[in-house]
Amino acid sequence: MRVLIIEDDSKVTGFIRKGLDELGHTVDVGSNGRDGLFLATTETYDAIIVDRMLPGIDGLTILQTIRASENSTPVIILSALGSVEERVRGLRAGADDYLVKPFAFSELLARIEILVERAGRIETKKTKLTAYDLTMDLLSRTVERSGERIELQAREFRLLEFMLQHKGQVVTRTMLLEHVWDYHFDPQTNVIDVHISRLRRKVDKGFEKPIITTIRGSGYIIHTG
Amino acid sequence: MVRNALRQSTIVPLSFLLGLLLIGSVSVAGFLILIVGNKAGLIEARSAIHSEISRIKETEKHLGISAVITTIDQSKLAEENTFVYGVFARSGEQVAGNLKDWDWEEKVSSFEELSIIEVPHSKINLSTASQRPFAGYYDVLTGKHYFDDGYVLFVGRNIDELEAASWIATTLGWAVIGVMLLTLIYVGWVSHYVSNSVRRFSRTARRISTTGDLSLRINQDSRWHDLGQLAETWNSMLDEIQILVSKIQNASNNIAHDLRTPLTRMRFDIERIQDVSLRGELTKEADTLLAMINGLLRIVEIETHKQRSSFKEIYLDRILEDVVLYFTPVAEEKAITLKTDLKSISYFGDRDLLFQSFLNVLDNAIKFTPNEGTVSIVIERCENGCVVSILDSGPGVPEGLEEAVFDRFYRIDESRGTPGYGLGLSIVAAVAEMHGFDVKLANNFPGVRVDFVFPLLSA
Repeated sequence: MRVLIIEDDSKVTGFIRKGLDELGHTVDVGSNGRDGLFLATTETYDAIIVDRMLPGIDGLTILQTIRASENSTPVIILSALGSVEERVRGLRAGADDYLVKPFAFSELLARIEILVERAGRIETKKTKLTAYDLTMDLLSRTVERSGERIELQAREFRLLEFMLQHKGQVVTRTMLLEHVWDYHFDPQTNVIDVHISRLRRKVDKGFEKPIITTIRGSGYIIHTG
Repeated sequence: MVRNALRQSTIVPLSFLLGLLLIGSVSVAGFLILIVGNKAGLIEARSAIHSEISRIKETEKHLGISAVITTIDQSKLAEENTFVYGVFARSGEQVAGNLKDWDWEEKVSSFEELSIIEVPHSKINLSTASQRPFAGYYDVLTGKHYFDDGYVLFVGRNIDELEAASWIATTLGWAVIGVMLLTLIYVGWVSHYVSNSVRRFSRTARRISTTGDLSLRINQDSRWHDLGQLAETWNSMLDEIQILVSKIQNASNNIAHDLRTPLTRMRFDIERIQDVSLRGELTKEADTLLAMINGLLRIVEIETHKQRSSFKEIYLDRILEDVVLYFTPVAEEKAITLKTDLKSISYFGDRDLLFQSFLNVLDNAIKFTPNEGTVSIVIERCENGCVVSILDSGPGVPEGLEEAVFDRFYRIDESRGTPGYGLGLSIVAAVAEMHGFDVKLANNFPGVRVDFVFPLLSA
């Protein structure tokens, strides 16, 4: 995929660019607001990463200008400002996601991949989600593995549902908190891991192939196939 | 409370004075209208006539009519005379006195009753009595008496001056009442106007303190100079505050930016280290540092961003249910029972921040409660709102440190072995300050009790 980074800190851009390069993605960099806005409006990208505080034109203004030209490219805001109001302002200006600095590269990558995948997907309401020999029926709200019924509590069901919806992509702890619990903040506790390990005990225990895999330092993944 | 408020208010002595003034002037007006105006002079005139009549009757009885005529003629000449006399023969001829004709016989009643008749100026010869302008006649209070030998006696008194005095008194009385009424209406209007303006001031001030919206201003009053000036001063003060707050926000934004950007770089650097064990170790250290700085910045952000645009109506019980569900697996691992007793309570606030506050307190409660202990989460209504209490059965807080635990980075010595940075309760305190609720921590023997006291929402 092709990604535009609008960020004035060369070290941060350097690392993001290097990380994305290694995964085979193309990266353009706008090191100030003006250059970034020019690239964003003249080229086509799969995703745009914008820093909130930029010399020249402010990140929110760039975002609003992009959206005003009916460009719906997924945009993720990077910001040193983590308050709820700032997040709300960013999302209102048209951002698809908001990531507070400092962040791990894996967190950024996981979020970009989900945004790009969502933008490219034609929204068909699936009623069944599957992974390997596990099937989740969204209508009857039941989960089966190898034909064996697995009883899940509501919150565990939502966790598994979210990971199945983003099968093949890493989901981070903050993403789970945002989407499954619907609260926005950095949890700083390992409570999410406890929830996952309980889910694992129900879903993976006694089966040869585990469905949920831990990605060290970033989050969890359910592999395709 | 009420008595204190009354004593402090300057309105009370002022209105007391005004009341005294009102009572005083109403009494003066009443005195003028009722006593002076109500022909008190007439009574006196009446008795004067009666005594004059009896004097003349006595004279007639002992000395005969001729003596009466002589006395009357003498009285007639007396200066400053307001008395009217007339002695007439049966034939109608005037024998004595200053009353010239006697065709008033029928109009005049006896001395027991007395009557007021109008006598043209030309018919009376009064030495000094001033003539009432335009009227052409005197008002005379008079009575008649028939002597045995056929003479008729009229004795009366010119009461024009009495009438005038009573008219003046009545008019003055009503004038005082009129002026008083106008004053009352004016004072009422002024106080209504001023207190309305003051109420507008306080309404704006309250809106600013509840919404945190510093862009609000007070309408300047062009009709009332002093109030207009007050509003202007007030508004320029708000301008100053707004500028200061935005400066502080910018400063803290810059600090956040300057702290977080190098940390982001460091984090990236660490992720690229090849040596797995070194990378793991450094990541752990960096994450601890990040967590502390993020926690600190979070507090600064909560404290400086007083704008409450993210506030909406939320239900405390639902947020608490979410917090409890969030911790259920952790509690189960330690075999801790989570007891809940929740009532549906709505509140106006930031859902994420309230969630985090409850989460931080419950996190501590579970952390410090030994295995197989109990943690209770309770909502209770109280007189002025509601209290959310989280009670644990842990070791409690050493005496005297109930306040200190809310300080940044403060950790009780005994808890140093457990994970944490000493910021959880500081965040709770900042969130409480921002929302306007109280958080109290106290020993509950056993354990700790944390109360969130939410004041009743006034719409």
